[in-house]
Amino acid sequence: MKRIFIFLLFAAALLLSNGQPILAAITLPPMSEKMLDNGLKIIVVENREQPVVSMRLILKSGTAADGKGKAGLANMAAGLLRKGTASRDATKISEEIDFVGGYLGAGAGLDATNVTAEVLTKHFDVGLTLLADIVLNPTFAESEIDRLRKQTMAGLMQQKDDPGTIADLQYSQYLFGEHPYGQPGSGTVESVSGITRDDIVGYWKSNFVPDNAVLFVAGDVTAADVFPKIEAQLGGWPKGNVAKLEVVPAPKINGTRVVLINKADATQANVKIGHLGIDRYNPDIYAVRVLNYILGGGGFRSRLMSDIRDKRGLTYGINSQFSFDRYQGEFTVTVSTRTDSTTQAISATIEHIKKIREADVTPQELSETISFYSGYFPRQFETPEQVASQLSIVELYGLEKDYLSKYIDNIASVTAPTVRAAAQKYLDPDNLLIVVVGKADDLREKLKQFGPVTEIDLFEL
Amino acid sequence: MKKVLLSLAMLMLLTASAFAVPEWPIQKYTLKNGLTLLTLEDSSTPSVSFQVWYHVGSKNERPGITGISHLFEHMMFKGSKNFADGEHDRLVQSSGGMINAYTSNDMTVYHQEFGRDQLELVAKLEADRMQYLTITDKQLSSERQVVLEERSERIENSPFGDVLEQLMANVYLAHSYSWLTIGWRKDVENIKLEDCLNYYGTYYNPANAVVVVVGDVKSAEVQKTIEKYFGKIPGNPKIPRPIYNEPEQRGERRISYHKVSQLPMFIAGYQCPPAGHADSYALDVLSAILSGGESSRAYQRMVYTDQIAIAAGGQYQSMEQGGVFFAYSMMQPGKTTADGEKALYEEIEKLKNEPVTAEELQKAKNQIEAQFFMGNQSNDQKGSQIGYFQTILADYKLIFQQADKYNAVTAEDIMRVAKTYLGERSRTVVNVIQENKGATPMGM
Repeated sequence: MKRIFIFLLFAAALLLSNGQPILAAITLPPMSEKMLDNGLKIIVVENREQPVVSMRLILKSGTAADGKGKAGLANMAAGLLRKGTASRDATKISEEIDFVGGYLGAGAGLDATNVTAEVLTKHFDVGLTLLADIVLNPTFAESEIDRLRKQTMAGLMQQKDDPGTIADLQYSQYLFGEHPYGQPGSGTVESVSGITRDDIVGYWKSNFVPDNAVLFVAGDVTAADVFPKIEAQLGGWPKGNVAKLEVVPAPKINGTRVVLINKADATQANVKIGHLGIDRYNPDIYAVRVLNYILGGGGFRSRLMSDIRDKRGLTYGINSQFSFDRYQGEFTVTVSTRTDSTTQAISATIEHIKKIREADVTPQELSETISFYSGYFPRQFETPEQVASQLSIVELYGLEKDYLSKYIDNIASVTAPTVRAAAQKYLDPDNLLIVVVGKADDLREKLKQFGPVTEIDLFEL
Repeated sequence: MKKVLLSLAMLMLLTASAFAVPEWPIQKYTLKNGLTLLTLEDSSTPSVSFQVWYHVGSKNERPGITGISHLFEHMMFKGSKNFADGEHDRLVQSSGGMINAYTSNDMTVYHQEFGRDQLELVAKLEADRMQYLTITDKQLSSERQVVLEERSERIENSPFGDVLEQLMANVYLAHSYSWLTIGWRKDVENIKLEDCLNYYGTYYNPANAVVVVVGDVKSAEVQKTIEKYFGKIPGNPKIPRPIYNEPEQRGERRISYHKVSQLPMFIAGYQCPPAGHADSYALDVLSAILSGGESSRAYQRMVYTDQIAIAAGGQYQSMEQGGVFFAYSMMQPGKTTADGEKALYEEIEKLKNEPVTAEELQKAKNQIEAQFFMGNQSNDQKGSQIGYFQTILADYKLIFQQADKYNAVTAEDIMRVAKTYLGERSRTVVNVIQENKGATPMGM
C-alpha cells in the first residue's frame, strides 16, 4: 500500500513536470564551415570518440529529377559512380575501399542524392580520394550500364515477393500520379530498359556540380587538417547551374478509393491509408508533428498502436507518418494484419482520424508529446553521423540557421487547439487512398464499403 | 606503374596494421543476489543506455512451447505490481526516452535510452517487472494475436523468413536451435498462462541477469541505484541450462521448399563451432574473404564477372552453443540454383586447397577492425557489445582480446577451418522451388 502511495506521488510529480517541461538544450560538437570558390560548401563536425570518419556528399537533386518516363535514372547514375572512373575500374575501386575496411556507396532519395564514404581515421585519405574520384570522373561504361540494368531488373522482380514494398510503390504511384514523386525511384522494368548512357551522363553533368552540393565530414578529424585536403581534391570541380524543377502539384483525391493488388499466396494484408500532406516549408509543421505523434507516430504510446495493436491484437505494428519533402508531402498510415481482419483495421484507423479532428487532444497527451520531444531530440546528436544527418536537413532544404536550436521551443509552443486546427486542415477522412496488397478473393467484396475498388494482379504490374 | 605503387601502399599498411582495441573503462559490480552490473561512463551526450540482459532465449525451450521466450518478452510490457499495463512505455517515453526489447536463441534484452534524470525511474520499472509481473489470460490472448501477426510478417509472408526456418529445422535435428526464436505457429497458438508463469519463475531473476548502463551517469550513482531497487530481489543461481545434444552430421541433407518466389534461390548451412571457439575467428576472416564487399570472391565471380546471381555469399554466424556457416545465392532470372551451388561450392573448395593471399588476409582483418569501431559509436551499441560478451561468453573483457585473436589468423588457419567445417557431409541445403506464374523473366 505504501509502495503504491509513493508511486502515485511519484507519478504525479512527473506529470506536473510534464505540464511545464524543462526544455533541454542541444549540445553540438565543434563544427567548422567553409565555402570553396566553386560553390561547394564543406561542414566539418569534430568528434574524437572513435577513430572513425564519415564523409557524406549531398547533392540537392534526387529521384524527383528523373524526368517523365525515366524512373530510376538518378539511382542508376548514383549506382554507376563506383563502377569505374578515368583511372580506376570497378574492381579496383572495390579493392581499394574494401582493403581499408571502408564503405563507399551512393543512392538517391526523392530530393537528394548521397555519396558516402566511411573509413577509419588512419584511412581518411583513401576515403576522400575515392569519394572525389567517383564523383568527378565516372566513366559510365556501357558494359557497366548493362550489368547494372540487368541487376536492377532482377531486383525489381524480386520486389514482388515483398508485400510491404509493393504496397509502398503502388501507394506513391496512385497518390502522386503525374507528380515526380509518383515515379518509383528504383525504376520500372520499362523505364530501366529505356534509360541510355546519354541519359545517365546528362543527368550526372547537370546535377553533380559543386554549387548543388554540401560535403559533410564527421568524426575523428580537425577542420584545419581536412579543409586543405578537400580543397585539393574537389577545388577544381567545375561549377554548374542546376535547372529548377517545374513541379505541378499532385491532384487531390476526390472521394475515398481503394486499390487492391492481388497477391494470391498472402495470409496477411499490407495496407496503406492516406492522402497528400504538407511540404517541408509549411508553417504548421510543428503542430502537424505533435498531431502525428499522438495519432500514430508515437510508437507504443500512439492512439493507433494502443488501440489496434494493444487492445485489439490486430497487428504487430501500425504507424502514421507525415513526410515533409521539398515539393509535397504525404500523410500515410501503414499497417499489416491478417486477411480476415483487414476491414476491421481500416475502419478503426478511419475512426481515429475522424476522432482527432473532432475533439482536442487531452492535456496529458499534449504534455507527454512535448516532453518526449524535449528529451528525445537532444539525444539525436550522439554520433558524428547523427549530427551530420541533422545538419544535412538544414542544408538540403535551406532552412533557417536556428532550425535545430529552436526545434524544441517550436514543439513546446503547440497547443491543443492548434493540434485540432491542424487535424481539421490536414486530415481528410472522406477522401482517402487505401492501398491493399493481399489475397483479392477474400478481400474485394469487403473493401467496397470504403469506396470504389480498382483491382490489379501482382503479375500484371 | 600505378599498380606497383598501389601494392607498395598496401604493403606499408600490411606491416603497420595489426589492430588493437583500447580498453573501455568498464566497472563491474556484483550484487549479493547474483545480479551483474556493468557501467561505462560517457558524458559526451546527455544520454544513457540502460539494458537488462536475461540469459534465456529460444534455446531454453522445448517442443510444444517453442516461441515462449519471445511471447514472454511481449508480456513483460503488460504491467507489474506497481505499474499498470502500459505504464512502463508511458513513463519512459513521456520523458523523452525510447524503449524496446528483443529476443534471440540465447538471450532476451530489454533496452531503453533516456536522459540522465530518468535513471531512477527506469531502474525502478525494470526491478518491478523482474519480480512482480502481473499478467492475465486476457492479456496473453491479445498479445498472442500480436505475436502471430509478427510471425505472419516475418516468416509466412516474407521472401526469406520461412526459408531460413526450414534451413535451421534441418541443420539441427536434436538441439533447440532447430526452431527460430519466433517459434512454430501452432505452439505459439497454444502456450498457456501457466507456461508463461513457470518460465518467468525459472529464468527471470537477478542471478540470470546482467544490467548494462552506458552514458552520461556516474558509475557510483548507478551502483547505488541498482543496489537500491534490485538488491532485495531474491536470486536463484540454479538456472537450468540445455546441453549441446546435436549429433554429428554424416551426410548432406537436401530440402526442397515450395513457395512463390520470383527468383531462384538457395541457402545452405554447415554446422560450425560456437561463439568464442578458437576457430570462430578464422571463420569470421574466411567469411570476409568470401563475401566482404564487392571485391570479395563470391561477389566478383557470381555477381560481377559471371553475372549469374544478384546476391551471393557465405557468412559464419555464431551462437552460444553452436554456429552455422550460411552459404546462399539469389539467382539472375534464367539461372538455376544448381548454377549457384556449383559456383559457390567451387569457391569454398578453393579456400580449402589454396592459401589465400597476404593481401586478402589483411583486407579481411582490416574489414573486421573497421566494423568494430564503426559499430561501437553510440552508447546503445557499446552497451549491446558489453551485454553480449558478459551474457554469452561470461566475460566482457573478451571484447578487448578479440583483436589479438583476429590478428593471429593465418592463411593456413583459413584452409584448416574450411576443411574442418565446410564439407559436403555436414551441409544442409534448402532449395526454393518456385511456385508461381512469374517464374519466367519479365520482358524476355
